[in-house]
Amino acid sequence: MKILKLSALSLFIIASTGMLTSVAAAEAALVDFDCQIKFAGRHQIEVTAVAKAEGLGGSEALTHTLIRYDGQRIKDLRVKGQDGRPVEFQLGLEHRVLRLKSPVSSSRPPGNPDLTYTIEYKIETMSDEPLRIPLPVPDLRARPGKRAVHISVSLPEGEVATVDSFPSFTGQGPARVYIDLANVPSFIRLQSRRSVSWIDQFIAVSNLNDAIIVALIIFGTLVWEFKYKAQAR
Amino acid sequence: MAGVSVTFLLVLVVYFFVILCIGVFGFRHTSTEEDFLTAGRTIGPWVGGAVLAATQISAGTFVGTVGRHYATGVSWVWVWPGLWCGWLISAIFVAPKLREFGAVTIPDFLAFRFNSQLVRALSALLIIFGYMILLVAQYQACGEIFQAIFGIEPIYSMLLLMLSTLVYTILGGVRSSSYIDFLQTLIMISGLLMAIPILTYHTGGIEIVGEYLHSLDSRLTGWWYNWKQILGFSLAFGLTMAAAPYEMVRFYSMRDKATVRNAIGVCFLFQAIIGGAVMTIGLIMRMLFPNLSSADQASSIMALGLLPPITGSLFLVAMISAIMSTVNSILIVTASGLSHDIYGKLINPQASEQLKLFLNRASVFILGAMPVWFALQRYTDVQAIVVIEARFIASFFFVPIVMGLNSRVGTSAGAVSSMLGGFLGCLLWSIWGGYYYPNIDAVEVGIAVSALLYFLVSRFTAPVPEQVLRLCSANRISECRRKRS
Repeated sequence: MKILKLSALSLFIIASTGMLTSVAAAEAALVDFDCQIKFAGRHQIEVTAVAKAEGLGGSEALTHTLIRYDGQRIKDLRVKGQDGRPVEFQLGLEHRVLRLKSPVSSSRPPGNPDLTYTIEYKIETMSDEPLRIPLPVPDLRARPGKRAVHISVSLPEGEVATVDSFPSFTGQGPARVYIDLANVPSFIRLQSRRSVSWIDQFIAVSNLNDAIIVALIIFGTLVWEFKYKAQAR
Repeated sequence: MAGVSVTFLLVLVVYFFVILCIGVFGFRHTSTEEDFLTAGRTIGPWVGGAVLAATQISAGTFVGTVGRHYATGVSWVWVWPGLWCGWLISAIFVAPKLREFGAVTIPDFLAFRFNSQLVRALSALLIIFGYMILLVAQYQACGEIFQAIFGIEPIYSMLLLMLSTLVYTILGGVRSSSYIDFLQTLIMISGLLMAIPILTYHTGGIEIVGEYLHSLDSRLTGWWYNWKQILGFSLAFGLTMAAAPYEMVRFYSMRDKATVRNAIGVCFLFQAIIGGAVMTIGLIMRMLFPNLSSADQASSIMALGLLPPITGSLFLVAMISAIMSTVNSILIVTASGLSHDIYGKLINPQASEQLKLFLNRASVFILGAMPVWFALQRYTDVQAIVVIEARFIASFFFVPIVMGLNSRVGTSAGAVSSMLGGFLGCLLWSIWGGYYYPNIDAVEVGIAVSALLYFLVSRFTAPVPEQVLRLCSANRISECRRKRS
């Protein structure tokens, strides 16, 4: 029996270590992503994203994707390298995705493992609400467990954000909302109003969802309890 | 974040309080080993169906499958029909017969059917081996969830999972875990159903999600995997499900044969809802966050950042409870392999009920702690580990269990060589064969070797005594036990 036990343990160790493929070693990563969004009027938004990456190769072209929503136009797109000078880029357009490819890492001084670059653009939108603002998503992953993505939105004058925005902004200042995330979202969905009454807050989609789910669980538990008692009788 | 965390902690505390109450209830109603392992055979079809769904819907589903859909798109959904075929095979050829048979564990059945204690020992060891791999996936998933929520090191969350699951497994065995599973399934389905409208509301519609994903990478809405790969995955999951010891042990706890069949039907319903929901969530999350640091964190990030506080917290609790449910089922099966099949039947058949119950609980503790180290290594993604486990279980159990229940062909030597051959075939093909012939899946090789050896060796070795076969075909294990004693 001891032999059987030992064989099982050995087989377990050999098979588990041999079978499971090892994950790739260190790779290029997004260290910091700071995105400022400003309203320059009701239908014009300015986006400035400053990103810091590490582990990139010297001449690698870095790709960013931007989601395209109907009724929006992205214009005045610019990419600035480490030294603050404009860097050339290529744009590829598919139905809902705009691909921005730029050899931005070549702007980095020799010997520096980190790269900081900036992407700026303006969005013209025809629609009023809800407003979805595309963000440049780099083809780089953030390190797990860190909140390296910071998004800040300066709202149109006199407006406040409702609770149904995406992502759910955790911070709110005067005419400004912000959030720290672990990954870059493809857009933010902003719903803002001149004023938000308590009724607006109460009937927000998120609150209604919470109410429905609690009701569902209570209903399910009662049905179960009723059935259990009926069986017991 | 702070608001969500406080709500999450509150929901978590309430949930674990309920679990503890159910555990104590189970403990007070568990006095024998049979009570611990089969809940006195009292579970009905609705609770039974929810239990089957909750046992199968594990971290592999909530974390791994959502992650797989996130990374590879729609095509992974074709694995589900394969899985359901496995359930059908189980409903027709395996589950009702096994329930009627009345055994306590799978090695119990195999040992009686093939009239061999070697078959018992080997099957118990293979169960432990296979499910240790699945436990690694559960622990790793738990680490991913907690890292996404709190940013804490995976070791702490794994230890928390280990301790909390051990408490309710050790306390109540199958009785308490069955009722906890019912509650978990309810939460899971409510959480999933609530998540989809909210996500769709943010994106602007399912149509836009499809268009965006197609523009991002056309394989996401088409075929990421080719049909041979899908067939391999489907076979691995389907055949495992048809002969999965940790699902089968749930059949033993149901009232009768009819209840087993009805419970499988109920389980189908739950799975269809959950399967469709996890795919939709994976796809929408890819649109919302196209480049996550780990695909396995998609569901946790959704719960934390997108869902309303209570819904999000319940969803996270449902994920954690899905992991706990699977860990609990696996621990019951593997611990019974050690204490019931190896110690109770082979080493000390005269052991008292109290001693066997104590050993069951001690085995749960030991086996629950072992896989933590492997999970910390993060060898690959959660779903990939689940696939590896499925391949092994199908390779060494499908043939002897299905044939043993449905045919008079098969000897003790045939069963032993079938299990060993299936195991080695799958192992060697995974290590070497797959490298040269990537289109042939390890499970196909494992099953083929297992079936070939089963028939070939059975043809040339001493058959099982006619008397045992007659009793087995009449599905009367109790009579068989009496005659033997």
